[in-house]
Amino acid sequence: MIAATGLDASIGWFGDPDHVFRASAVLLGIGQTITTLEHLAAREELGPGGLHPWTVMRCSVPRRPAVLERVRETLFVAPGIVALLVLRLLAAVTLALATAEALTLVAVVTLAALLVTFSVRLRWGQEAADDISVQVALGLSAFAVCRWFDVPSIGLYYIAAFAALAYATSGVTKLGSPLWREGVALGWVANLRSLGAPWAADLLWGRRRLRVALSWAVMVGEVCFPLALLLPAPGVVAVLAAGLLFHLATAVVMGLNTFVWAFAATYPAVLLSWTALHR
Amino acid sequence: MGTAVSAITSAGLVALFVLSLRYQLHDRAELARRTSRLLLLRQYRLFAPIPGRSDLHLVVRDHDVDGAPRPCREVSMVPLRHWSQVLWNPQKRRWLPVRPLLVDLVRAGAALEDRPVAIELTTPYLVLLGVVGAEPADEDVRARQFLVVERYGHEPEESPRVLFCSAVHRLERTTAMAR
Repeated sequence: MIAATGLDASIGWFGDPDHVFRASAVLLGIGQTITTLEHLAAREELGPGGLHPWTVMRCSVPRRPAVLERVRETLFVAPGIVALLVLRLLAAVTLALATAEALTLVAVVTLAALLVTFSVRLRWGQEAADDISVQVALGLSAFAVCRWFDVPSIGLYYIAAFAALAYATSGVTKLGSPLWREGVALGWVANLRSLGAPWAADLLWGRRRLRVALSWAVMVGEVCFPLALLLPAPGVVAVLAAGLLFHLATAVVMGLNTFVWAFAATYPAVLLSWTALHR
Repeated sequence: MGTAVSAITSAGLVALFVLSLRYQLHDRAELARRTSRLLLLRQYRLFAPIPGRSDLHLVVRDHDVDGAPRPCREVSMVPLRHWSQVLWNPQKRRWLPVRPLLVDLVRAGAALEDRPVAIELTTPYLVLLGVVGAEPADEDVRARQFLVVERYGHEPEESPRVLFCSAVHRLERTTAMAR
C-alpha cells in the first residue's frame, strides 16, 4: 500500500504538462544528438559515391518553382547538407540541455523542421525511430508554441496517441501472421547478418518454445500498449518498463540503438495521459 | 491570436493522426500502387507480417583489359555486431539504406525485364552504380558490373542466389580508385 502510494506520487509528477514536455524534450534531444552525430560520422554517404547522392536523387523528386529549386540545391548538396546536420545537432543539444522557454521553443521547432527536411532528403534508410522522432518533435513543437501564447495544446496527447498507434499496428499485424504466432519470424530476424546476431540465432535455434514465448510476449505487449492507460499505476509502469526492456533488447541484438530514445521520448506523454484519465 | 494558434496546431495534429491511422490499413499491394505524397505517413508494421529471412548483398565483378571477368567480391556494408552499438552505431547509416535500395532495384529489374536501358535509368541503379564505382580498383581493371545476391543469414548450407546482374560499365579511373 505504501509502495503503491509512492508510485502514484511519482507518476503524479507526470501530471504536469511542463514536466512532461521537459522529460520528453531531454529524451528526444539525446536521441537526436546520437542520430545526428551518426549521420555526420557517415556524411560521405550524402555525396557522390554514397548511398544518398543528391546528384542522382534530385531526378526522382518533383520539380518546384525556381526559387525553391535553388534553395533545395544549395541545402541538399555538400556543404549545405553538412551545415543542416550541424544545425540539427545544435538544436538537439539545446533541446536536451536548455530550460529557458524561448530557447526550447526555437530548438524544438527548428528540430521538427529539420527532421521533416531530412525525411525528404534521405529516401532510403529512414527507420521507424526516425519517424517516431518526427512525430514527437511535431507534438512538442505544438505544445511549445501554444505554451508561448498561454493557450491549451493537444501536442503531448498527440505523442501518446501516436505511440499507441505505432505499437498497436505492429502488434496486430504480427498477431495476424502465422510466422509470428509460431515463433518462426523471430528466428529468421535473429539469423540475419544485417539485423541479427549469431549468439541470438544460436540461442533461439532448436528452442521452439522459447521462440514462441518471446514472440507472444512481443505481440501481446505491443497490442496491449494502448490498454496500459486503463491499468492501475503499477500496471502502466510495468508496461512502460517492458517496452523499454524490449527496445534495449533490440538495440543489443539488432543494433537499433536509436529506437530506445525515440520510443522512450513518448513515455512521459503516456504517463500524462494516464494521470489525466485517473485524476 | 493564441486561440487561433491552438486551433490550427490542434487541427493539424488531429488531421495528421487520422491520416496516419488510415495509412496503417493499406495492404502491401495498395502501398506499392500509391506512394504517399505526405512524407510524414508511414506504416508501423516493424518486421511483420513476414520479416526478411534473407540478407541482400551488393557484389562487384571487375573485368580486365581483355574483358575477362575476375572473381566476385562483396562490397562491405554490414559490420559485426558489437556491444558498443547499443549506444553508438554510425555503421547503421550505411547498411540501413542498402536493403530497401537493393529491394527496389530487384523489383525494378523484374518489372522492366524487357527494357534493360530503362532499368539503368532508375534511381536505385544509378545510386548503386555510383557506390560500386567509388570502390577501389586495380590498375588493370577496365570495367565493372554489380550483382545483388541473396543469402540466408548465417545458414551455411543455403547457397547464395543472384537476384540481379547489372550491365558491364567502363570504369572511369580517378587517382582515389587505384589500389
